[in-house]
Parts: sequence; structure tokens; C-alpha cells
Amino acid sequence: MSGEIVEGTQLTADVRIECDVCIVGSGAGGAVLAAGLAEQGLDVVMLEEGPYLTKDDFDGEESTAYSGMYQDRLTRGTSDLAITILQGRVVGGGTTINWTTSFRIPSRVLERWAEAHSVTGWSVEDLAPHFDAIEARLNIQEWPQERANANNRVLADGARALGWQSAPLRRNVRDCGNTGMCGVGCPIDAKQGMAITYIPDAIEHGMRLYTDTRADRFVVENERVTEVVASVLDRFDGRPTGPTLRVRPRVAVSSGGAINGPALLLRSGLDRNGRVGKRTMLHPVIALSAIYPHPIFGFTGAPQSIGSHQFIDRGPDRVGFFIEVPPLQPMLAASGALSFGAPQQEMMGQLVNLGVLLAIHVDGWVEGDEGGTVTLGDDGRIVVDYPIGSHLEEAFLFAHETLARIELAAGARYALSTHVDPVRIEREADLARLRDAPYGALEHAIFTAHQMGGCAMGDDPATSVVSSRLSHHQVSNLFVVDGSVFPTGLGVNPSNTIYAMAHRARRFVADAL
Amino acid sequence: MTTRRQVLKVGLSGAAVVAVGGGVALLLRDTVSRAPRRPLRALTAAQFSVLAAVADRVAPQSGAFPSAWEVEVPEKIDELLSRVHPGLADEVGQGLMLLESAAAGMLLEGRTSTFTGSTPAEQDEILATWRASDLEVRRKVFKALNGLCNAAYYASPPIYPAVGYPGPPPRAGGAR
Repeated sequence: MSGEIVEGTQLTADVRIECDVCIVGSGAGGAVLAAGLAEQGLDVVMLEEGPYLTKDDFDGEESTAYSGMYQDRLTRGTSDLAITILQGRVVGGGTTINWTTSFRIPSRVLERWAEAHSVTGWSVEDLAPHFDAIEARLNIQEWPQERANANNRVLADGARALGWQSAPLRRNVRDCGNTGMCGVGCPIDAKQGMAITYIPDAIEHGMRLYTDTRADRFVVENERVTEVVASVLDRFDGRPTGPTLRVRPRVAVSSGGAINGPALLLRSGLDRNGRVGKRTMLHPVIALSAIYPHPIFGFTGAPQSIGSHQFIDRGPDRVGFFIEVPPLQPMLAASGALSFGAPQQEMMGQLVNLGVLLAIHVDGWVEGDEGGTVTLGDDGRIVVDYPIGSHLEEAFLFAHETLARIELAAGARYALSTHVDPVRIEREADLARLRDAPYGALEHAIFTAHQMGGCAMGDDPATSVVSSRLSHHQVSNLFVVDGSVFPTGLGVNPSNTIYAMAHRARRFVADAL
Repeated sequence: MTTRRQVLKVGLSGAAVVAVGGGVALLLRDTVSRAPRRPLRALTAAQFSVLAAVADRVAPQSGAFPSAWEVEVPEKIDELLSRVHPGLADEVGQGLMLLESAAAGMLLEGRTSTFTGSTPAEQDEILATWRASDLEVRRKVFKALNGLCNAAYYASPPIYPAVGYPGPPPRAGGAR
């Protein structure tokens, strides 16, 4: 039995559906789960607020991509505007627009979750067969270092010169053309995102996917989800067009990611212990630009192919980080700076010779680091707050120094910070200037591309939202399957771990039916 | 810079001064109008005019770089704001008028002119002051406006030659 993709925009009247499982969200968690359940013969309905787009829709332009496939058309940020949030809003979720880096969850993270966050039954061994299955389906393999673009080679060369660790990254691609377009939609379907892998697998086995359809709330009666109420959205302006969907499932799954997922639970009155939307982890990212005497062409080639975990563990009292690089199409390259006018144009005029390194900070580990929160505003908007404490500020400074050292070691003419008053570093002695600069909210650019937490898993119902088997502590036929169940920041790019957890959660959900 | 000044002169000479009455006149006077080239979707005419002035300081005409106005940055931002939650468009609009306000400017920094009524050099100074202000609201307004203008500008294909970007690879899209 083959399913279908129903574009919500085609609906003109209310729809009522019954099914076995209703999954909200089509990203890394929802898609892998859906395919497994559909293959078992279960009747699956998936709701996705974003559009269904294919490679023919991807024109490679940033203006099209960010307004068409990112949350809030890439205007999403923390309430103080300090952190810009890059997050997918399209069939396939973040996997349609991510930069393909695929890690397995480190064992030390699983150990920490077991020790400090009452998580049981998640070991490296428990997950291994699920990673194996995912990595086969998505062709996750190490990217050949000789195909790394110059922006990534900077990281390898600089780290090597300093005696620091770096390693090639694994990517979920097949016949990759090195176009560099990962973040704006792969134009040749080389990236093995959910929209061309597990979503079609699920549809082949009967899943019905409703696009442009936002889940407004779960209706709960006697501690069971009886209905998922959703609104059809206009594709241009994102506002409800009128028709509603009412899906009556036997089991409901929240897979909307770590910001929209907790918001959905909050709208549904499902915050029974005050833990929904708490400990929201963002892997806060700082960037350091550098101008090289030779071309970098950071807008082409696989965006991420080298990473360094040299400073992932800076001791129990310091925030660690890992280092990767971004793609450098003009708008993304420009978005880092707080400068404007001539200085900004001068920097952007050297785009060809521009390289950028990122330090991605691992939150939720240091004592007292509770990350951020997701709440609902009076006007229904989702509010993300993320206080940047002294531990993170210390790490931001150290990260700036670290990235500058790598860039200088790799031969940069100079490095330039994103500060309100940019710090220019031409030689080792200039590093001291970074110590005089301020760190924290609105002092320099901060981003997040990894949203986690907010519906933490754990066996202690006082501190978590779902069990270690990902079922809601009070509402037994509700599961959460996405990165929001992480109790801490992951310390690696999260997509592959979400895939594997969702692959394992197929069993948990099926057992509840 | 000559071309940029000429553009500005055209804007000024063709400007209709927005007449506002009552108490609002204290907060908002002499907004130098810039006429949108498409019907506005989210912003008011006054908000659009302030945005146009900001955009041309974020991205002035310079060398190979066209001005933000030339690549329709203000109109692009207005369209974007019509596609997000109306609350965000309201906040951006309020931020623009806060920046424009001569009364607030006088109160906090002794400025007596509106943003749009200031010279380009003065506008740069105002933006730099807001960027580093001790008032969070000013830093937020700067960051929001600078971010919107930079994004709309640097995602515009006409600026690609100035930054040496060849554009997306030919295989991207267009397969239909």
C-alpha cells in the first residue's frame, strides 16, 4: 500500500483522520521513526509545517532558501537577539538544510546522562546496531581529505602546525558533487536527507504526509492523547488559511525539534512538572573570520569535512567546544559581523579570500549550566531565552584565541573578530587584544545550528519529561522522538544520533500499540 | 561616494515630508520620505522611509557595490516581514521609529534631528552609538536592523560581482 504527500495548501475543508501513529515533524527523528513503523504495517500520519520541496525547487540562492526552508525565515533568535537560530522548516527538517556532518554520540556523553540525568538503557552497545543501519541507508562515510575545500584545510593545516587534533568528518552523501550548496538545499540529491530517504521509504509503505500543516495542540483526555489538532498554513505568509486537520491516533509522537516540540507540549497543557522547555541546549557558536593571501572559495566544496575536538574537554569547571567551519555564501558570510557600511563592504569584498572557523560550545555540562528555556509569548509566539553566563563568556574568549591561533598558523594575513569593535589579529602578539574585548550577549555574533533539550529523557519524573524509552511520564501514548530529549548538549553534530535514537524508538512506539 | 550622494539628493528633493499631528509630532517629525517601488506589505510609509535610510548606511554605494536602495533592500525586508509573525513586523516597525525619533534622540544624546533628517555621517554615528549602547533596546534595534539589511543586501545577486561570488552552480535548480 502506497501512501501519499498531501500539500496542505490543496485542502479547502476540514479533514478528520484516524490512524495508528501521528508524528508531528518530518526531520531526523520523525522520518526515521515513521519509516520503521510504516514498514511494520502501521498506519502512520505525519504533519509537517514546512513545504515539500525537491531538488528542482532548490535554486541555490540564499534568499530563496532561508525564507523558504528555515524557521521564521531565518529571523528566529533568542529574545535578546544575541543568538541567531538556524533551524529547518521544511519536509526533512534540519536534514534538508544541514551541512551533513555525521557523528555518533560519544560514549562519555552517554555515561554522563546515566550518571547525572537518570537515563537508563542507552549505551554505546545498545545504539551500535541502529547506527549501523542508519549509516548504511544514508551512506555515511568519511569524506576524502583530498576533496576538502580550502576553508576546511585551514583547520587541518593550522591544527597540525600547532600539534592539535583534527580529523576528517563523516558525511551523509552519495555521489556528492562538492557544490557547497548543503545549506540551501542539495541541487543534485547527493545529500541523503530525510526527504529523499526515510520519508519516501515511509510513503512507500503507506504513510500519509501532510505538509504546510502545523500541529496546534494535542488533545488529552484521561492522560491519553486522543486527537492532534493542526492548522493548514499559507505557504507564502505562514498564516492559517482556515482548514483544520483533526487526527485521532492510537499513539502520538512529538518530533518537531527542541524549540517547536516543547512549545507544542506547552500549548497542549502537557507540562506536568515544569520541565518542558527547560534545559534548552543550543551549542552556542562563535565565529572568527580570517583573510588569507590566497583564495579560499569558501562558498564551494563540501561545507564541513574537517573537525577538531582538541578542546572538547577543558575540565569539569570549563565549557568545552569543538571546531568546524561554515559554508561561505555571501549572506551567511555577512551575517556574522556587527559591522556595517565601509568596513563590512571591505571585508565582504575579500569574500574569495575569506575563511571562517567556528567554535561550537557544549552546554549543559558545567555545574549550574541549565542552558536556556522555551516558553510561549502572550501573542502565541515561541520565546527562546538563553542567558550567557560567566562560564560561557570565559569559553568564548578562549575559543576566540584558539581560532585565531589556528588561522595564523594556517597562514592568515589577519583574523578579524565579530565584535562591535572588531579585533584585528595579525600576529601572535595581537592575541592579547582579544583579552581586552568583551564577551557575551550582543558583544559579538553568536549562532546556533544545533537545538537540543527541552523535553529531557530520564527515569526521574521530577527532572525529566519523557522516560528513557521516550514516552511521556504521565501521558502514556505520547512519545517524544527528536533532539529535545537530550539532557545536555551533545558535543558533536546531533543529526546522526537523532537518527539512531529514532531507529531504536521504533520498537518503543510499536510496543505501545 | 558621488553617486551615493546623488541618489540621496534625488531622495531628498523628491521627498514629501510626512505630516504627523498631535503628540506624535514630538516623537516623529520630518521623516524624509522614500517612496517604495512596490506596495508595502508590512511596514508603514514612515517606517519604510527610515528603513531605507538605515539600509543605505549599512550598504552604501561604494566602488563595485551598488547601494542597498538600488537592489531594493527596503522592499525585500518589507516582504520578509509580511511573511513572519505580525508581532515581529510590529517590533521592527517600532524599532525603526525609535531610531527615527528626534525627541528620544535629544533626550539621550542631545540629537535634535530625526534619523532620516541627519546627514549620512551623522547617521553612521547614530548607528555606531546604538550598536554599543548601554541600553539593551538600542543594541537590539541595531542588531535587528543591521542583520535584516545585511541579509537582504548580500543575498541579492546584483552584489555578487562586488564580492567575487560566481553565484550558485549552474546545476542548481532550473531542472524543470
